Amino acid sequence: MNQRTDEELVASYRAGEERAADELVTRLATPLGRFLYSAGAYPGEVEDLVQESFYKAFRALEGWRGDSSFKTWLFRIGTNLARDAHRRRKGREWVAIEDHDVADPADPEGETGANELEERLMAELERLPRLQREVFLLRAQQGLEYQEISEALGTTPGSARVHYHHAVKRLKELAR
Amino acid sequence: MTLCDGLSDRMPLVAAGRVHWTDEESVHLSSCADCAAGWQLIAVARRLGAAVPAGDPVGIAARVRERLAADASAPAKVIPLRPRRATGWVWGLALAAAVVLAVALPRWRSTMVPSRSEPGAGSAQSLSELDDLSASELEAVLKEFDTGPGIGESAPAGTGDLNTDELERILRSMEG
Repeated sequence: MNQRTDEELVASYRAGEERAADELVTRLATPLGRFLYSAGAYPGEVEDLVQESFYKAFRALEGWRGDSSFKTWLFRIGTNLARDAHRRRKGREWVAIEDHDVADPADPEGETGANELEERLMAELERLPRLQREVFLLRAQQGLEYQEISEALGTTPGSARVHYHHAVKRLKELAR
Repeated sequence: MTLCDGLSDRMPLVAAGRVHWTDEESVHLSSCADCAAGWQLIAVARRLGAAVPAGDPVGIAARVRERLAADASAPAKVIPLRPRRATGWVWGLALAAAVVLAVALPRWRSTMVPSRSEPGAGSAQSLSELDDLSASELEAVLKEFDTGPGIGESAPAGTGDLNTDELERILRSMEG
């Protein structure tokens, strides 16, 4: 059985099928939450941001023209909510992890090393300009095309590409 | 664009399963340290936030639906038939009319009804037909005024000849 696309689910929801909304939430809540957290949201506020993003998206569905994908539109709403939350709390406190940079020789490729790489990447992401960080995450983590990223962040595909490559150049040093 | 740039650009899409490496790209990836570092960066970025739960999607979906249902059942906002601005001048006019009436009515009344502080004025107007009477005739009329009920006294008709006891009896009978 073919899985319905996001846009087909939106059409079904508009036609009165409430279960279509559940399916969209089930499908997109986790990627959205991971993106918002990686972009700087507090772990404790991620669920609220995800819920608020879906609520706003469904509520404004009548005004959605479908120029971009539903996922792109949802991520745009989520990004704006996260930016507002960030402004309200004046930035998130980041833990310096330089002391943990040395890998455990007993577990070079194991879970510990992987977690440390993630922590280092998170810390490094925080140092990137906001738009560069969001572009990188939408591309590297979510696998979006530049066109989709530009729609989600209100920029151009060319600008998104430049931001992505600048971010990669800086972050790649971590993986060496 | 070099092969390295091309690979770097496509890495997120390959990792997301949207495209696949060509044979040439696969060979290059296994022999280029810079591209290998980039590939590892994408792998780490895709894992970011996995440990932070974005909440139970089913629970989020239920709460979003509850909020949407609450919005739908909320009473519709009443839209006035006429814009508020159009009725503003009516209230202004009514207020102005009230002020004019408040100022002018007492003055108008004072010209129509004799004031209690000036009893002679009303008498002079109502008794102007006595102007043609001689001095003795006027004297006689004034004597009648002196012996009759005064201005403002309201003696009940038919009670002028009763003594105190009779008046008491009448009052008691009226009180029941």
